[in-house]
Amino acid sequence: MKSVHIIFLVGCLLLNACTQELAQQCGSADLNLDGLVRLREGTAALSGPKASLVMPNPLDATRSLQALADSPALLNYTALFPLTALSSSSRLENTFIKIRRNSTTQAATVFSGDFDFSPDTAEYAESMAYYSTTAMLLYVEALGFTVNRKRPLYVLTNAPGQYEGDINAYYEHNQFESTLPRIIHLVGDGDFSPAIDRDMYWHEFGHLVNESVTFDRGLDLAGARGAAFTEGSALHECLADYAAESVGNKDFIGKWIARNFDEYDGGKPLRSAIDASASRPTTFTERLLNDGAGKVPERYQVAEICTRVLWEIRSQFTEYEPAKGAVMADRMILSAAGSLPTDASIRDFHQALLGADKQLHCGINQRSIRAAFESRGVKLNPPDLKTPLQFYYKPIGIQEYEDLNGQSLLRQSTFQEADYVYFQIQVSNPNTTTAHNVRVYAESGSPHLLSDVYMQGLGDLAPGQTIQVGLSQGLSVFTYGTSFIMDHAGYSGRPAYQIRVTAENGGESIQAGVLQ
Amino acid sequence: MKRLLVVTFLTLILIVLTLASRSPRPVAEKMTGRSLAHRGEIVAPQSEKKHLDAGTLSALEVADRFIENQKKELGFQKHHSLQSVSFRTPLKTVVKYSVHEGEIPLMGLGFEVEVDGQMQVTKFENNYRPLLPGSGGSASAPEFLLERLSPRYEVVENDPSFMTPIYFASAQAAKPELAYILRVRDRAGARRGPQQIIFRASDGQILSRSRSRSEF
Repeated sequence: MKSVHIIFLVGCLLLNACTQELAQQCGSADLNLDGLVRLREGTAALSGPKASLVMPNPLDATRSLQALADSPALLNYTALFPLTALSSSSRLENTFIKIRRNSTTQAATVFSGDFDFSPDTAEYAESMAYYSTTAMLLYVEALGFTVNRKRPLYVLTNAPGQYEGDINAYYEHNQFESTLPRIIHLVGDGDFSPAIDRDMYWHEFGHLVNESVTFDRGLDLAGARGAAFTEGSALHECLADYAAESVGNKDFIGKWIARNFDEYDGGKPLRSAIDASASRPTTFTERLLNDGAGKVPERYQVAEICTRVLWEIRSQFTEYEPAKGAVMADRMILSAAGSLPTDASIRDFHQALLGADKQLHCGINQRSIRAAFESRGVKLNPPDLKTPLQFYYKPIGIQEYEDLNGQSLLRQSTFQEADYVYFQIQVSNPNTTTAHNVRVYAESGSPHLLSDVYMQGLGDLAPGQTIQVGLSQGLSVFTYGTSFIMDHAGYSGRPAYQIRVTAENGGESIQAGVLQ
Repeated sequence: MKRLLVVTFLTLILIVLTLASRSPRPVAEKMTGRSLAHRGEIVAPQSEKKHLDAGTLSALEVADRFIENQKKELGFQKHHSLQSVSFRTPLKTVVKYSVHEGEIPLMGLGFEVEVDGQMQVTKFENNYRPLLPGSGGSASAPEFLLERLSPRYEVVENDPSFMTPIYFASAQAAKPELAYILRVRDRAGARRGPQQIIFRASDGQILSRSRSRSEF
């Protein structure tokens, strides 16, 4: 009996040693979890300037549809939030973050050092902008990620719209040149201005974070070049939504701004990280399908499903430790983004999450990660296509011109006169299985055909299905077509190119051509 | 007999636990092969351990040394210089290098070096070409260039990025051309929102376009 006790004791010691080694090997150390939790809650800084803010926006704070930016009752919902790392106490800026109202050339607003304003003022929006972007920056950096601060980030709280009554938000990454600033544009200053909603800043700043944690590889490079849809574009929106939702600790985004739009009933969010409505699709399978009759994948709808996957994974982490679990989930998800290639796919992300879990947590979440994706229709290894996709295409020359009213328009032209070449295309799936993540590429073989919209994602194509992209039939070639810019300088020959069509679960089809 | 069974059972459990704790660490496998990456290829270097004193260096220093050792083989030109940005994550550090001629960046040219937690270079991506000098190219007057762009694009006024110079080389070109970047709004495009265009300095020809990311 004595020997059994001894063996049991040795076993316990060995087990303890093994567990320690496992934790060390899996890189789960070096996190100041308590500090991170304080950053998430906006309570990290004890001294320094603070702003009085209604967090995250009047609707979510009061849970009342009566709440407006100028409601006196909002006074009861204000709290103080730190304005960390200001260069001076009178301006909302530092060497990286620069808050402006409508232009990057504008001087910063001069404050008296007091940041207590009514939510319907421009100064309040600026205070919200500075707090929100700084809070997310500090949190992501404390998680162990570099946010590229080599270029300034301008945040415009009331940027000019693209048309009268425009309400939107834009993130401009300035991908081409390594010295130009990044810019967040908040557009629209009506009753439900996006500029007084923390989540808008967190989402837009999330795009900058996405580019940093993927090392500026171009998570959705094709989207930045004009593609209407790619799975990378959905991932970009998914990660930006997830950042706002997870750090804000709520499973939706955009209730405040949605009040600007008739299609959302009062109090409904723009997007939800949980299956809130039985009438809306809940799987990638439904959202990614391109039925060839006008139903096409849309980046925000696919992103919403993606956030539900991430929210399920996060829930595994928070089940036992609500605050710290969320921090660990955020770190794993951002780490996974670091393994994504240029123009990443949802399956790439699935694989990357499994890899990050292995490295950070020794793979203890593999099953729940797989289940979260597979329950929504994305398996890592779907059945292979037996036959490559079939396609027919026709290039068309497009010329820009100005009509008598000075309106800029596009018209079809000869290739000799064209400013752009667009490709009409018809893609068919002759297989008995679905073709996943169908992409069309236009690849130049001539210095006179310059890369423009080099890739378009067409989604999933059902067995026997055909998709058409054209001038007058099917999807618009100007939105869903690939294209080249034509450079006629010193050239009158016939430039060569190739069109390539791929599916993630099958071979590729290539056709070469010259412009006649 | 019963005691012997219990002891055997516990011993077996201990053996299993010990073996489990010694299983290989789940990290990305290093690639092996050529030390020189051709343009656009991603390979892991063959002999980084030979010339890197990894124990005392930061990830940026490791990457810098690695690039210095590759320069000759890559045909790195004397008229080119590098600027780096270092990105750290909990799992690795990636250093991105952009290529410049004088103060002007060359669009799309650069390197990416990935360094793991043990300060080993695990991945190298080469997007460099030994282009001839681009300096000396002619540039037209800004007014002429803006006139050429104006039917299609509305220039975002008074912006600091107004006509920022950049060198542009198409995939087949041996020498880059001087070009400018401009922030604009597209008057005719199907998708609206802020855009960037790159156009040739000599004649205003559009060379490339990129869009911002919109919320809706």
